[in-house]
Amino acid sequence: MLKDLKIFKILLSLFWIGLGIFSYRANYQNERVIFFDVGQGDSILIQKGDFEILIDGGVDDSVVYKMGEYMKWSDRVIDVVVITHMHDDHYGGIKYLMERYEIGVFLLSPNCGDLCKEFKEYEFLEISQGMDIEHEDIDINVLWPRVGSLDKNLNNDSIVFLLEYLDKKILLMGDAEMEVEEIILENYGLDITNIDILKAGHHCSKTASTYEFLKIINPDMSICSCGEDNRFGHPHKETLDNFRNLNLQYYITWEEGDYIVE
Amino acid sequence: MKNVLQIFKFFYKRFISLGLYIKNIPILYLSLFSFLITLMSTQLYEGIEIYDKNIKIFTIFLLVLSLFFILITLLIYRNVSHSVKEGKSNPKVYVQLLFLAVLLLSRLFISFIKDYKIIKNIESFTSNFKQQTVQVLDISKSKGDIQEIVFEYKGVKGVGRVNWFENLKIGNMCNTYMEIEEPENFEDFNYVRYLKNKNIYLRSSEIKIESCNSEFSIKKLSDIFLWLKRNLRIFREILSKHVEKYLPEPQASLLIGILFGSERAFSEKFEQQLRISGTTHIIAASGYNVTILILASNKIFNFIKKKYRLLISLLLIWIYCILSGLGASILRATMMGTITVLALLSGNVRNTHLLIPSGVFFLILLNPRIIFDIGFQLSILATLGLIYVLPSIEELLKRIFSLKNVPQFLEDNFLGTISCTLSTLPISISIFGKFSLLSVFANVLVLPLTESTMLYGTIALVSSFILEKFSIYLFSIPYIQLRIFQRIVEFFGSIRWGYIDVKTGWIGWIVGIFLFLFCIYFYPLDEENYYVKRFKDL
Repeated sequence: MLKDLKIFKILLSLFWIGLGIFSYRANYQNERVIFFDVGQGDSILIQKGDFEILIDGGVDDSVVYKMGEYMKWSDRVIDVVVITHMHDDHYGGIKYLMERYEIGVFLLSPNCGDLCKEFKEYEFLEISQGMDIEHEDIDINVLWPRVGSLDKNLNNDSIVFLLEYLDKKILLMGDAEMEVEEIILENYGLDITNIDILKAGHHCSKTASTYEFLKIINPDMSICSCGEDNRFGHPHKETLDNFRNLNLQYYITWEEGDYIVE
Repeated sequence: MKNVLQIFKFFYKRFISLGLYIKNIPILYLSLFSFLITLMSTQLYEGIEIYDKNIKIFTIFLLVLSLFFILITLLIYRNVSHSVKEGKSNPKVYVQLLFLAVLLLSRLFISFIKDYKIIKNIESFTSNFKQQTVQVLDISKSKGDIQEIVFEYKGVKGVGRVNWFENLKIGNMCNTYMEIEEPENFEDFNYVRYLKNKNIYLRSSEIKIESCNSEFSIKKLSDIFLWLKRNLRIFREILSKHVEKYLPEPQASLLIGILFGSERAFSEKFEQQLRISGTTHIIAASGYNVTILILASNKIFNFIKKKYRLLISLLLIWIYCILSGLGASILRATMMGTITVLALLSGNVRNTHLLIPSGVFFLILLNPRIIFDIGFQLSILATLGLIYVLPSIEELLKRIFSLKNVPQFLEDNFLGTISCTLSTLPISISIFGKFSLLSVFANVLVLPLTESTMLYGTIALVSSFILEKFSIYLFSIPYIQLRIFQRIVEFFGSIRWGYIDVKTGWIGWIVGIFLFLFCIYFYPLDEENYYVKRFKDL
């Protein structure tokens, strides 16, 4: 009896060790873009195997749990982190991430100045209009900002880019508002028609996603990244009306959770 | 009809024998007495305190309390002297009892006077937003964007919230900008009493730290404890950082919770699932960790003499208690553990029945307000469940299936959990108004896993300091185990009907009375109980 118990225990330890090795070595083939539900804030993860690009980190530590859920556990490096602009509902969570993960490189707006100096202590790169970033089949075209602020509104300094990945065109607007939308349409009108997925600007506030803009880019799906009962009243009725009038589908993160594009 | 009469007779007999049993053992008397008197006097005190902060009424209250004590002592004296005359008991017992009663009375006096002094002058401690110097006594970094601290201001304790990224250490003297106010009760929660149980009288919703003096010097006796806490926290932070470096969330927080019982934050959804599945106790420092430690250390060191083995386990549980930061709940559990081990050392099996009463008495002496602490009540009930409900259930099973013995694995993995859940039901229903139907099943699956995670987690953590590169492989074992843990919790936590709302609190009391009668009926009086059996073959 005692001998049986010992054998059982040895077998059990072997089982755990085997399972551990398996979990470490398991192949991780994930090609996807995930729009996290991080409350009132933005956070989007682009994943290819164990290569990650994180765009914004929400306001609090929610992003830490999201990364724990979606990243391979033994991968402790987030390769690229983009901070679209320096509002705390976009960079707040990044600080919590930095306590746990190593970050390859920060991509920052050239106009963020002193506001982003704490991130400039690490490896960083300023990206602006016209730049092109590629990694395997991930292709990012930076549409905004240009060097030098447009106006006093920090939201209009947001990094905006067009992501082409998984045979889809995904337009990520950050917090950019209608002034930026107008300029982008002027500059890139043709490139941004028939978008598959739009991360609507400024959490679907009425100051962004104008009727004209939506009509031209004609997205299959628009995502409003906002928190329940937030004090700004996002998503605004006017924006949702625009979607409805144009017969466009939309997705609100706090109602339905993370949105995964695969 | 005849049957019913017989059952009544049986209950009556058992009642009488229980009464006699208590009477024969003075410590049972004393602990019951101390519990009741603390309960009554505190209630009374709070009554007059709300009514008026008048010194006259307070003095009368103290006088009445002492008179009551004298009366009770006289009553006991009459009783004891009677049995001393008949040669049934030893006069020494009386002296001991008297001594302990005086100790209890003075402890109550001290706590009331201290409380009265603060309450009377509470206005002198509160203030508007302005610069204040406070000392940090405790920090819990549990919630997302804030850390909660316990501070000391003019000798009175308070709680407050500080920015998450503020790098504080226990014992720091800080220049702050804050508003200090009296705490207020919530709609359905007596917050003032909750804080008072922890000796806390002040509250500040937002503390802005301007600067902190991080040097710490020991000036008075209580500083030694603070110094110890400070350095332990620093040490624990280093260990936690290591775990966080290797494991993602929620596995990192689960492991840290299981190993050191530190309060950790999880995503809202997962926290709710933990609650619904009734598994939160595993990741908090509790009696469960202490029990595992005692059993494990005895298993590991089974080649040395029992006496030394027990001493080692005593040492281990205290090291664990200190490591986990000397929090109130773990301190309590360790005391109970210590009493258990001491009872085992003395070799008298009957002593297990005295564990709880002596523990209760001792803890009341340390802090009379502990009896209002829900955590304390729950842990006492859980222990009572293991000592009394478990053997009763086993007896029932034996009678139904006419078994000689209940299989060990059933007892270890299933019946123990059921007993604990059942015995804590009265409180969880009457206080929280909720109970978890599935917690038994979730716990049965999770508990054996946790024991193994404790082992592999410790190995991985220690190795991460020595073999940095290799330890990621070692962390893969606790990772996969905690992943399974997470899945189990998520599964049981997402079943909608798992959590039952009981609006009427008296159902809790009915459950309590039923359990009491159940134990009286089924408890095998002459047999050894679970605790003894588990520890006997050590």
